[in-house]
Amino acid sequence: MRLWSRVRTSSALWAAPFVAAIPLLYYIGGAGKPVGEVYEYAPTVVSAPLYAAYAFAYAAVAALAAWEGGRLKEAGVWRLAPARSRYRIAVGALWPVVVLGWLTVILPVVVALVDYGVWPTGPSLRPVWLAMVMCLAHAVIGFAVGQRVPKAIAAPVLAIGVWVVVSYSVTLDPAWLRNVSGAFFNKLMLGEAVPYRVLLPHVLLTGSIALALALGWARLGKAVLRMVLALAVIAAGSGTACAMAADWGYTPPLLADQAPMACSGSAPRVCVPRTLGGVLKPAQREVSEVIKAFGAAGVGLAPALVSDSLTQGRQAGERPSTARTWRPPLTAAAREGQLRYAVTVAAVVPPCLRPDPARMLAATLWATGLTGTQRDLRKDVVTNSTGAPDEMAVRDRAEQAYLKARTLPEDEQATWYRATLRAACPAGSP
Amino acid sequence: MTRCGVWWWARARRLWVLGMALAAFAALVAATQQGVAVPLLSLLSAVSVPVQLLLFAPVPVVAALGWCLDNRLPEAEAIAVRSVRLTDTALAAATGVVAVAVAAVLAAAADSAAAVAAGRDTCFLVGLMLCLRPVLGQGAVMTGPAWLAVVVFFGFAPDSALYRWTIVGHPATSVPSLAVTTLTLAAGLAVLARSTRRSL
Repeated sequence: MRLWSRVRTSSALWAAPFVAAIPLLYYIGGAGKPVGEVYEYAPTVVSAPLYAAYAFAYAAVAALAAWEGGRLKEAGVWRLAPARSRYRIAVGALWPVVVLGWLTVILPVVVALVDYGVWPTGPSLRPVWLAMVMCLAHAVIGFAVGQRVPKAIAAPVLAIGVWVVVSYSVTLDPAWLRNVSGAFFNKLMLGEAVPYRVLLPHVLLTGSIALALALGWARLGKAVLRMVLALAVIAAGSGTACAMAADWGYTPPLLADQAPMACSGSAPRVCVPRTLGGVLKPAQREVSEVIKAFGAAGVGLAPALVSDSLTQGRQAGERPSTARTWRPPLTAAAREGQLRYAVTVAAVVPPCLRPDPARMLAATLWATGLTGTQRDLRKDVVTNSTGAPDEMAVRDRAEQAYLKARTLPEDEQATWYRATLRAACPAGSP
Repeated sequence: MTRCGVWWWARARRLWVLGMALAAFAALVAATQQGVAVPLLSLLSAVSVPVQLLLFAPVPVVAALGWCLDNRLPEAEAIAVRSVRLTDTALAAATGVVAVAVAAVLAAAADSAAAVAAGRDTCFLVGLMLCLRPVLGQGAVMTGPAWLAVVVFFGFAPDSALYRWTIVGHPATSVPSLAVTTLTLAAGLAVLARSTRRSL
């Protein structure tokens, strides 16, 4: 059939204005907009409108594909199969539907990119590929359902069913079920990107069902054989998907530190997100000031890299500083005017992950005393206080230890500082 | 119509599909009447609103009724000997009555009035579908999902309460919803009674 005739006769044409408009309206209305600051980071701009588009696009594709499948069945075209490959028939009927699904997910992304004036990057488009592959899978599933169930029943039930099931996956317990729903329900933050292996379970689950149904169109021996083959494909695909995602909670393992950085200097090399390059110069100044202050007190520090923790996205703070790499929240601190304080705190590195809080606080009090940022620390402690009695006890012990250290001769204070950090990590602590 | 005629009509309309749809409706209501909500994005409030799954229970019934009414034997029905108008209209009315009855029984069993509203919503969507059938033809079966989608997109006020115009989703005691539902179903039945013999 000619291209235009195919489009003109497809149910996708009359549905197109409504279907394609909804994710756009979501974007304009705000549900599809990125939350918080975007920092001209493409994955943030792309993932937000998709969040609102997945479920609706899949529902529309499944329903329209069911309608087309039913039409072909009723018109007897499907029985022409000896003369034409069933796959050709299916492709001919489904491509307008799939193209509409693709438009539905791509249009809001394009609008968002234009709106924020951001050029897409390779990793930022990965959720778009997911949405496009899933449109294909839902089209196959809808088509197959439409041939077995009357289209007038299959289409409305699939439209609501797919919409609700995909949307419902975010509330399901266990939480990892959302990671096989076919929709990547995460709005990415600065520095975050999604690896392909996180998207794979989505494709495996729905894709294996679609593949099993599509295998049924081939002329493969007996019906029993086809049934066994289809069940094997579904079991393998969904089993693999669930095994992959079972360890993930609400948020799958995302990549961090993917934002383009602006760096300068060496030993230490100071890095901030490129779009926030203005912080670089003051950050570098404060880093060298802090190292100088520690050196003057007899504590030699030699970080190789000082990198803004902002680009770790939601994992910020989960990977603390090490002696070689400091991860202060440079951008946030610069806005608060607390750059030196943030760098000082990052410089107090205990030799373990979970140090004793009282000893850590004592050491930090001493360190901030060196760089003249103790006032910031005390304010911070009060702000973050929950008022719990054991927290007060920790503070009292820290203050006492610090006061005692202050009475030591200056050259012994550095030894005390090192000993305190070591003592904060008793043998065997992580 | 004779008894034989009714049998012929019921087989032509493939009423067993409607029976299955009503069973599905009963199962959906039973499973969700305790208040299972799905977060769907509203266009107006720009956030996810918790939408009761019960709201979607009428969809299979409305679709199946539309499909059953479209199963016709045009040649036989064109002859005025057997009046299918009456039976078709009675079928649509009976579907609404059965849906309300099923919902009421389930509500009584679960001691919660929420399910009765699902029966009323079924009547409203059936009426809407019947009104639009002469215009949309077979596409009228999408009336149910379309109305529900409009309700999800535009029907929630910023405080996640439903606007009154949505008709569906309100408590069973809502008088405006009940009045509009009655009017819509009556209009739908009237349209059906007048348009039955025009082939779609």
